[in-house]
Amino acid sequence: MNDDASFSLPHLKETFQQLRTGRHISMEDGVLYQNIIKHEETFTKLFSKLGFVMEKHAKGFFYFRGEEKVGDRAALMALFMFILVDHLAGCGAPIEQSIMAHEFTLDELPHLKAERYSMLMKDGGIADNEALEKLLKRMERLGFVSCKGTHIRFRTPAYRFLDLCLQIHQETNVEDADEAA
Amino acid sequence: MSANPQAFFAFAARYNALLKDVYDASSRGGFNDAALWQMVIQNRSSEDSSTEFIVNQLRKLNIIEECADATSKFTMTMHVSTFLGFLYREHRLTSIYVIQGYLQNMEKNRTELDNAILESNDDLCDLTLTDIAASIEDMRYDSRNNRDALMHEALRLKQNKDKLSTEQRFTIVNRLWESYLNPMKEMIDVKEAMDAQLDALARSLHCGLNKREINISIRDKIRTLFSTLTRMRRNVSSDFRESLRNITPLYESLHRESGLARGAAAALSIAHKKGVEALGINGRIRLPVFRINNLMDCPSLLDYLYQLVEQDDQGEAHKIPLDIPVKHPYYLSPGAAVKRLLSELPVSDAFVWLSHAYVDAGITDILRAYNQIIRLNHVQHAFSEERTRKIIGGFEVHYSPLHIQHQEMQHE
Repeated sequence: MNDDASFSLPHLKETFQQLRTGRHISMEDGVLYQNIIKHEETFTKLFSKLGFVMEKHAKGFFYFRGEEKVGDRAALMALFMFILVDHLAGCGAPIEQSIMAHEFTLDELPHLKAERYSMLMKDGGIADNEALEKLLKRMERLGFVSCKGTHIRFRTPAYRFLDLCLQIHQETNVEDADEAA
Repeated sequence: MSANPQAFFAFAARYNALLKDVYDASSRGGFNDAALWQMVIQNRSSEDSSTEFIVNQLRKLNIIEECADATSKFTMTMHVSTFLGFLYREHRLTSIYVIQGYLQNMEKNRTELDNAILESNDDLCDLTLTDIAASIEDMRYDSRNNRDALMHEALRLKQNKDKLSTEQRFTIVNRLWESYLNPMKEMIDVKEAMDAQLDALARSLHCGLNKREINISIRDKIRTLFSTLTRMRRNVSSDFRESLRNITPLYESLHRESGLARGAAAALSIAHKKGVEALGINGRIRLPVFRINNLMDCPSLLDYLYQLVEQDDQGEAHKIPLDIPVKHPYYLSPGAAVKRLLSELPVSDAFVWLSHAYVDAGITDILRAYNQIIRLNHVQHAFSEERTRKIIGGFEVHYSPLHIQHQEMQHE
């Protein structure tokens, strides 16, 4: 790879702009995604030389890994997802399938309905539907969901939050085992 | 007291619906005297014998018996229940220990058979062959029953008509896995204990077949048992593989789902007790935060940075090509704009003020600062009723002018 080749990558500027603002680029992003797939190695190498780490998730989407403990955007989104997973588990719905294949409407989201959830959401500054919609818009900008009016559909990058659930489960499992020992 | 089979089947044929009710009530843990009478009354027609007679027949034919733990509480006797369960295709799982018990019995009987063959003792051969045949058929029946029960359970869990939670479903599938499939897998695949024992039995039977001193009818029985054994081995193996094929994907999927559910529940619990910050989400998700736009818009600067990274101690250092006009990145701090605006109040049109005060700023910067301004507290805002338009950086903006002045002091 020579320098000229890396800087003449198609859609370089747009791809870089999207990734550096935290956007997760997945198959639904069409040409941007196809382009990264086509030149994955060149993109990775170029971004790496510029000090950015482009990660490829096992589910096939791309994102920039930011600095540790910078920003506060992820916590509320994660809380939103934890509540959704907990709610689906409680009503016996298949969690992963429901999140990835079902189209939710704002009305059916449990976040502001059950008291134990709404208390946590309020602590995070989400007290009404308007604030919830804002949070969803933020998640949309980062590529986690697609919103059309009051309809919400999760995109593949939402797997990052499901990974987080499994990670926390493993950690708490280990802690429980340590305590038992 | 033994029941007369003819009387039993005649009763079962006439009161088939009653037997089903009694069977279901027993499955739910038993029934008392009143419930028993109620079931009989519901299933009895005017031509039938009296209710009291039917209740007595149920006892006499060993269809029901008193529960061990309570008087005046009844349940269906185990053998009738098992038989009806078979007819209703309601499968109950047989523990692996029961199957291991069959194998142990077979092993004991095989040793006896070996001795009987050695001594050409036809009577002993006959007895041990009957016992071995019973164990083989029990094992085959239980294996098929377990396969059907596991498939039924898998279907029930997949359909989840009872709306069981993920955790409840995982507990069930995990029990099936740990109590039935895993030990069976161990027995068949890993230790191959079953294969070794059945091979030994096959060798004993082969030996009996070739022993001319043994009666021909016994040798026929051995030949039949040989086929029964082969069929049982084939069935047990295929039943197990089919059960494994059914349960494994369900187990894996519910194992993952359970992990998700437990993880989310643990996270919510931590967030509830210590606040969401305690989860350290930002450090885990690590979203990049870059707020300064246009930093990398100059290709020659990007090129220079790139080559700088590649630079080693050898050779000449790269230079920024000075002949290419470089556009310096411009950044308008919304905070600074607000501060300046407050020092210049009143303004009749905040948007015009911004565009004049920061002529180099692009539309994005202007709008970001404007967004901060309209949220200002402790000032008086007033939107004009007439809309106007302004062109900034090639964008045509339509808006209602915003007048801002210091808040008037409140006088009592």
